[in-house]
Order: sequence, then C-alpha cells, then structure tokens
Amino acid sequence: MLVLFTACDNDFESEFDLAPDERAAIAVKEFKDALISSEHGWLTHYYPNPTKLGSFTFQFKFDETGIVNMNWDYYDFPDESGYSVKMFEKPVLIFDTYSKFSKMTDPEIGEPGKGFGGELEFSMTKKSADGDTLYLAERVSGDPMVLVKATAETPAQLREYAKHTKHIERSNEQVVVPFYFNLSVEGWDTKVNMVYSGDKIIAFLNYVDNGEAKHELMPINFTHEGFEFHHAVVLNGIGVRSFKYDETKNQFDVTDEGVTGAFKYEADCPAHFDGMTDKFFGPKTFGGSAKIVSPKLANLIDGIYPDAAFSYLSTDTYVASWFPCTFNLNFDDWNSLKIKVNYNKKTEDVVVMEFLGYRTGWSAPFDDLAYIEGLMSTEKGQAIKDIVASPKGWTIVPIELKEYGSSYYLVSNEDPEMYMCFGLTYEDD
Amino acid sequence: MKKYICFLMLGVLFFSSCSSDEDLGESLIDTSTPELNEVDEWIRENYTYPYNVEVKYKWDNSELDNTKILTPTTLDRVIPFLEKMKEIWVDPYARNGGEDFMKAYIPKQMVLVGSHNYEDNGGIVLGQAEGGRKITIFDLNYIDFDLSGLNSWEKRRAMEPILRVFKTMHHEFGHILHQTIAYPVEYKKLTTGYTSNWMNFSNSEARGMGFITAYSLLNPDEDFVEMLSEFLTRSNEDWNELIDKIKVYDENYYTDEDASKLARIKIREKEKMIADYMLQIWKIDIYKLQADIAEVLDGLSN
Repeated sequence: MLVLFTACDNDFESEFDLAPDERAAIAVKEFKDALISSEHGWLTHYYPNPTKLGSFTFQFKFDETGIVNMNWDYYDFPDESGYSVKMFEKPVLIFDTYSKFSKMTDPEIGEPGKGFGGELEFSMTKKSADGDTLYLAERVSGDPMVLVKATAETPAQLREYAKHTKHIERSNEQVVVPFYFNLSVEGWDTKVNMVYSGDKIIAFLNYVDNGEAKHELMPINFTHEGFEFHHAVVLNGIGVRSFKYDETKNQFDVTDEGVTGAFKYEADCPAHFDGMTDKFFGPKTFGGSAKIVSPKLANLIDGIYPDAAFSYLSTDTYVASWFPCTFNLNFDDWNSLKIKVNYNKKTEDVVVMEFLGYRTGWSAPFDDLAYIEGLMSTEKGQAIKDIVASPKGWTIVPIELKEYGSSYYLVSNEDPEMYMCFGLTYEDD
Repeated sequence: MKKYICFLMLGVLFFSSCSSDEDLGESLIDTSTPELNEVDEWIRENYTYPYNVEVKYKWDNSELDNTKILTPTTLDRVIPFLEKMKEIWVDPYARNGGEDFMKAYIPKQMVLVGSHNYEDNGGIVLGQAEGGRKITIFDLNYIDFDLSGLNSWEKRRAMEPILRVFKTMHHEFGHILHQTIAYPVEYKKLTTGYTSNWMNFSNSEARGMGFITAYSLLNPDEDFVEMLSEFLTRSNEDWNELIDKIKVYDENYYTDEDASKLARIKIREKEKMIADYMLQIWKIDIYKLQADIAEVLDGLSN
C-alpha cells in the first residue's frame, strides 16, 4: 500500500520547464529554422568515406516545404531532393528522395555493391555562435558534415573547382610541364611528390622520411582557390594542409599560417620505391593501357601514322613465352605499331625498354615490316624510338598499389615532360 | 481474506486516479495533418483510403536493414510505379477475388527503395515480405514504364525489370496467402530434392527436376510462390510453351524423353494443386486471373 501511494505522488521537480516531447519539437524546429535561414543556402565539403575517398562539395538550399535544392562541384547542374527533420536521439536531417546527394550511398557507384560509403541521415551536433556554421554528424558512423553559410558568389566559385581538378589530374593537360608535382616546404628536408586519382579524389603522396620511402593515401578536398588535404602532412614538426593556385607561376602555394612552400611541377623524382620493376615488368606480369599521355609525348607520336591519329599506348609485358614483349603505339583506326622490346630492370623502379625491332600485325598496313621501318626511319620515328628505348629508362611512379589492378605512371628519365599513366582512364568522369 | 485486500487496493487506486481535477493541458501528441505533396495525395486516394495501405517512399532507415547500402526512390518514379502495381497486381486480384479479399490480405505497409539491394555474395534481393504486413520493394529507380519509341528488342529488354518486380509482388503476396491458410501438405511431397544450394542450379536444370525456377529448390513454400508468380506473370500460351519445352538431357546430351515428360508432369501437378487451392480457399480462378494480368502486361509492352 505504501509503495502504491509513493508511486502516485506528482510532486517531483523536473529539471526542465517543458515536457520531453515539447523540447524535442522545439529542437526539431530550431534545426529546421537554422537550415532554411541562410539566404544562399549552405556549402559543405562532404567526405563519404574519409579513409578511401576525397570530398564532394555541395551547395544546399533548404526551403520550408521540405525541398532542398542543390548543386555540386562534380556536375554543374542543379537538382533537388525531399528532406525532413525528425527527432531520434537528436534532431536528424534526412535527405529522403533520390538526388545527386544520394550518389553518396548508391551501391552502383564506387565499390560495387558498397558505393562511396556515405549516409543520408545527419544528426545536428552544434551551431556556431554566429549561426554561420552548422556541425552535423552521420547518424551511423558519426563522421562529420559541416555546413557553412554560402554566399551569392558560391555558385560561381563551385565552377572553379573543376579547373583545379584538371591541374592535378594530368588528363587533357594542355601546358607542357615536367611530371613530378612536388611539394617543398621551408623547414622540410624532403620533397613530397603527389599523384592524383580523380576517380576517388585521392592523392598518393610519395616521399622519403628518415631514409624510408613512404607511400601515403590522402583524401583531397577542392576549394575555389585550390585544394586541401583531409589532414595535415607533418614533417619535421611542420604541418601543411591548404594550397592556393598561383596562375602566374602555375603552382599551388601553401596557405597554412606561418608556413612557406609550394607544389611545383619539377623534373626530379623525390622518392624511389623498391619492387616496382618486378611488379609491373617482371616475369609473368601482364601489360596495360595508358590512355592518359602527356601532351609532349602525345604530340611526338601523333602524325607518325598518316592514316589515323594517335590514340593511346600499351604494353605487352608477358603475353606468351614464344612472343616477344612489345610496346605499342595505338591509333584511332584500331591499328597498332608494335615495337619489340625487352623490359630490362635498371633499378628497383626504373625499367629500360631495350629495342629489338618491330612486330608485324595481322592487318594492313602494319602487316608489312618494310612499311613500319619506313615510318620509324623518319625524323619523327627516330625521335619516338630514342625516347622509348632511351638507356636512361622510365621511372615507375605508383598511384594505387593493389595485388591486382594497380595503377602507375611511367615517366621518361630522358625527358620528364614525357609520361604516361597506366590504370586510370577517367572515361566515366 | 487475500481477495478482500485486493479489492480494497483496486478501490483505492481507482478512486485516487479519478479524483484529481487537474488540467492536463494541450496534448503532447502531434495530431495536425501533415503537409502532403502531390505524391502523398495520390497514395492516399489510391492505396490508403481504399485499402488502408501505407506506402513509404521517402527514406526511412528504420524500415530497412542498416547494414545494406541503399538509396531512396526518385520522386517522379513513385506514382507511375504504384499505378502499374495497381493495374498488374491489386486490381486483378480485387476483380477476381473480390474487394474484401484484397482489403483483408494486401500488405498494410509498402516500403519503396530506389537502388538494388546487394547481398554479400553478389546476389540482388528484389523484394522482402515480413509477416504478411509489410513488403519492401527495391530497384524502383531502374524501372521505366515509358516504352514508347523502343523497337521490339528494346521493349523486351525494358520489360525484364518490370516483370521482375511484379513477379516479386506476386511472389510475396503468395507467401501471405499460404501463411494465412496453408496449401495442402501433399504439395511438399510432389518433388523431392529441396536444397539451400539452389543457386548452384540454373532455371532449366531446376525445370528438369520438376521445379519452375532454381529458387523453387529452396523449400516447398518458395516452390509454391515461385510457381504462382511465374504462372501469373505470363500469358497462358507462354506458360504452356514454357512447360511443354522442358527437356532433360542424358550424359550424351540426347534428350531423355522419359525424364522430360516426368518433369513436365510434376510441374503440371503443382499447377493443378495451386489452381485447386486458390479456387477452394480463396475463390480465385487462377486461369482467369492470369488472363486478366496478361492483358495488362500485353497493353504495356505494345
């Protein structure tokens, strides 16, 4: 009986003035009000999977009716999604119909069946004192999404992102520059070379630290001024993260406070890796295609064959024991000029293509050895042969190292303005 | 004595609960009408009011397997899909089984998902049914009902995902029916050889064993609903052609006529048992239902 009466006592003091449901409703309303409060919407650099991918930049404009208009740096055309704000353990923003942002979770994009690894639900964490920044977190993984108030200039700035992508992607490169995109920083005693995979918005940093060659994966975030790393690279106690493009010098200057340095296109390779020649050109390795070719190398090859333009390069490293290895110049009419070579290991990451002659093909005119020799005896042909079979060889610069399907650059040591990329294509970009 | 104490306690509780005259204030439950868009209105008119069905087309992680990578539906695909679902599944059943039948057994919640639903082994889940109350349908963003301007080959290709998803609806609805009233136990004895390794068989291999699809090999329940859904998503002419062409080959790749005939007989026996079950239990003539659905599908592809 005593327990019964004690339990029915209504005179308890609540810590709050309002009931839980009322407080939840207020929190939801405050979050929604904050989302729709920005005149030009919000800008976010969203990392769907910061261990594997770079960031995707979106501009969101939320309205009262539950529609969010959006644009992103990747495709410059607007889209919209339904959105809602609901209370779970915290107020949660949900992108609830398909839009460009849904690509962050689409199992058809990125890793098959797994997608980019992003999420569609974000809980509100906090708001900055001035209300210009909203800090959100993915509901399942807890990874952050930060919304920064956009301005009237944001849509125009988004279009700048693509330009910077082109600078470091090296595809469709127009300006002739040496291959190595090296970061030098005052106070560092090493340079950091960067190669970039636009498929994943990931940079691969190659450098030597305390005598040891390092190959580090670094997600990239583009900005309208340049780009930034997901996290700082720290060497000798000096951290570097943000870069701004300087058009006059064609370089990216470090913008981190108190740090001087820049990414420049250079001829020297700052880090050499063991095992590259064996991995890509050793016995029982398979060839590949290089569809990204530096403008200088492409211009050198283009015009050698009068019937069709130059298309791409390829290697046959170990086709079959009774066939020689070849280095192939492929043209738009599907014909190939095959140079017979031995892929000789000069160092751990330098391969030399020893010239052995030419291999005739099955179809005219490359079924005629005299025709091939005629082409290659011209001044242009001799220049091609000289660069391909240079005794200085080609340095192998890894992009992504996997058991199968690795990608890498071959950079001429004769002329570092000549290089080709195996593995990456960007055909789907 | 114990009885008296209990009554006394209840009496005290009763009076003290009702004696309070305090103002309870405004309800904390939000009963305001939600803002409805065009899609919501359409769903209310066509599914919620007539069948008491809730269709969830907006993203709601709590309705889905959190371990799966999925995307929401594209808004402008929702009404066309639901329209066709009504034409191909709901309306034919309502015409042949009666409105009340459909109102009683239609799953009361449908969840629509835009993307494929991948399994870890690379397989794709097309739909899921839970306890006869909820159906989740995947792939919506890959289904286009506008076949205008396509040639016959392209139309056949475009019809594949459409047939696949509606076969899934008939499959899952079949589960609801047999889970409500079981099919005759004799059905389970018509063919043997059920196995969890069904994915190691092709459809034609399964047919040679007396099963309509490889998935039918999983267990008798799946066999039953696969038979029903395969039967209902093709014309009777196509169905007969499918069965009549079943062939079993011997080790020298010659047709084994006896084995082929046996396989056909097994499937026909299953067909008859399903037809009897549907007629006796649910008062539905599956041949009429099949013709009804075939007419709609024919109109869609022509």
